[in-house]
Amino acid sequence: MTGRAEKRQGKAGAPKRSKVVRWQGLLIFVVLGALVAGAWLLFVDRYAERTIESAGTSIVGAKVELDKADVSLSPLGLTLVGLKVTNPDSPMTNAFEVGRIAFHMDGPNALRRKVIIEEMSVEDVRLNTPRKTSGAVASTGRTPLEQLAELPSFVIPNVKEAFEKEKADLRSLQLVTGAAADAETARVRWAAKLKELEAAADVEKYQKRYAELKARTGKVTVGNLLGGSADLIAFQKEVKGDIQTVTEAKKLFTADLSALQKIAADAPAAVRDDARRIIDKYSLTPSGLTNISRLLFGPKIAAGVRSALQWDERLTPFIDRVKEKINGKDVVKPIRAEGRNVRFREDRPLPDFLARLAKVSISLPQGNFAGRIENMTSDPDILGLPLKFAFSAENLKGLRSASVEGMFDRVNPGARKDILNLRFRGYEARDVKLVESASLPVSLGEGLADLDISASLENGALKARITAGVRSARLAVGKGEERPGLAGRVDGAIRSALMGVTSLSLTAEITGTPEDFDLKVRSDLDEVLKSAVGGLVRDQLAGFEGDVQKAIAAEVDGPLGKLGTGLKGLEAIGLNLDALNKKLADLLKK
Amino acid sequence: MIQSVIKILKVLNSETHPAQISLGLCFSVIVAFTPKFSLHNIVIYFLILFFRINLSAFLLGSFLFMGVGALLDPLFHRIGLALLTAPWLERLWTAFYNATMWRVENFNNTVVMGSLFSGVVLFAPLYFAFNRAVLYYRKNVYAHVQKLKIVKAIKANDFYQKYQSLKDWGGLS
Repeated sequence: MTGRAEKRQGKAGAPKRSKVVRWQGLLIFVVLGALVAGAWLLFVDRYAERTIESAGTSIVGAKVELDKADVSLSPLGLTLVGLKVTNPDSPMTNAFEVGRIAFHMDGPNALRRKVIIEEMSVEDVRLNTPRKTSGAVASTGRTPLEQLAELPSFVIPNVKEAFEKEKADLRSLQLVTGAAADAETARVRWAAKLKELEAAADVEKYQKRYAELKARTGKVTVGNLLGGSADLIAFQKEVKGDIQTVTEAKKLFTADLSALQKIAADAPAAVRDDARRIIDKYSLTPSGLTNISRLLFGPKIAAGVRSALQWDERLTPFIDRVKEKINGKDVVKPIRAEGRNVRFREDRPLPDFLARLAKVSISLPQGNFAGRIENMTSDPDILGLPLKFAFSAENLKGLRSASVEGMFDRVNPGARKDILNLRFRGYEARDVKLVESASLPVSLGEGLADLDISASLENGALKARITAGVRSARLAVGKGEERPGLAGRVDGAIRSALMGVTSLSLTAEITGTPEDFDLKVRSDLDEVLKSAVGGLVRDQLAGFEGDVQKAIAAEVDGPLGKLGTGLKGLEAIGLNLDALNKKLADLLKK
Repeated sequence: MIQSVIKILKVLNSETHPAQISLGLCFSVIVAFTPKFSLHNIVIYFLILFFRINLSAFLLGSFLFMGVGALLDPLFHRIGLALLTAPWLERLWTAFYNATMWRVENFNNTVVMGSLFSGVVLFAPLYFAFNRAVLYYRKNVYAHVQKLKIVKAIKANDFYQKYQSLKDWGGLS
């Protein structure tokens, strides 16, 4: 066989090899694709579980755990089992646990990265369940109201301490010190003015001129009579002008002097007012007794409001994603990705996440709650509908009926409005801690309570009203740490008064902003406590008020002395002005 | 480490055409810069396997450029944001936004857009740069490298010998 023939045979025998494509690569691509798909199917559940846990933890600020996640492809859906969300304020407690969450998603929209759920089922929700391990907790500040836990107003304060704190703000001291300085300034000013007037209206010169005039008219000629009369008229006019100037200056002087004299006269009253103000501020006065409900229940209510506001804030990323405007485009931060997502006009606008209806069942020790949440979405502005929720239950164990309903309206970002209405009827309260004070712990041993809460947060303005009525009540006042003196006696009086309470009503009104809200609490306990401790407080206050007055008077004494000296100097100037006026008037009489 | 060195030698010293090595490296830049499981990356994986592009260069490049990509994410975000918010491109992006395929691609994410744009823009210049680098290496550096003791030691290694035996396996070099 020739070489050429061998070459031909070889070419025919070997498969033709393309220089551009490798067909084996196609096979490998398919195999690799299948392997990746297989691995995805194998691990997608675990991946979904981890994703939900990590995203949830970062949003809530405490551990979020999930027992199992099950992703189904046909139909596309997700089932979550055993979701536990730690309460960030109480790391050993789950804020809630959900037994099972199941939903199906719209497949084509899922490809467009939109999670659209027509109906979601949320079963076996349990609240405040204990945890075996701790979750992370973000530290939170306390409002001044919450810091009143030890009821400091029951203690009559130390006079010196109260006085030192208030010294800078004493109105009497400011008034008298200012007046003393004014008196000195006025004295210097009027002394100068007096000299100026005395120089202008020199009585001795006038007397000389008068003598000359008189001498000139001594010889009776027509010329003398006519000329002397004209000079005399001019002289009289000049003196009258000076008298007028001095009289006007005296008027101004009198006004200055009177104002300063009035301050000196009012000083004792100002001292008394300051003493009263300090007493009102630092002790439990009869008028301050009306505030006792706030002191008793305020910290607990404020803590509840703050907790509700924190949850509102934590839920915000779910119900209203932060959107920026860049070059007129909406730009949003994706929950689990780098960068930002820029949005464009859609032919059929849909939110990125939407659960039109979630049916929720909550299991509480008292019984089961049923409810529904509508229009859960991260983009309410696109959906154009607010999130609404409503839960209710009847004939629960220890609770006749309960209903919770509300709305998160973020449709218009410029006019956001959150509303919560809560209504409990016939709640059989047992051992509910009302006041967690070391010296006076108060709890509701038992009672039948009705509670209504209506709250709204509209454009940063918080408004809430809480009304509670308790019948067949038995208040238990614990034996806390005994305080000495009046504080201890007040504690004792309050303890006795509260033990006799069988019913109470309470109204709390909250207004302001989430960061700084004001709380007003009214209760029929106020009258009970006022009559119980009012007498004690009044007796003690009499002495305290006297001591405060003395302390203020001692402080005011120095400036008051200076004011007196200044006034005396001014009065002397006043006399000199009068004397000048008199001398000028005497000239005219001549 | 030894495997990486072997791969480098294998890639650079093989008889593979410089264009095939350069294409592998250029595609690796796009894959390394952008999110791994993007739609365009699946297309790139297909191209790499189906066409005679140097797979080792692609894998090695992906590994090397991955860190660079992570460091450049803030820059990609800015580039992507500028492109996606450019008024003159709005009609194009709006059309893309309403097409399912482009939504799967997640083109409207600033980092995806910025990194993909950067990778595509750099593709042609890098292709020529890599081509020249490979040619230069083969002409001026290859002989010196072969004389290095470490290279001789590696070439004497069993693993390297086995790797050499797979050199032409299925044309996947």
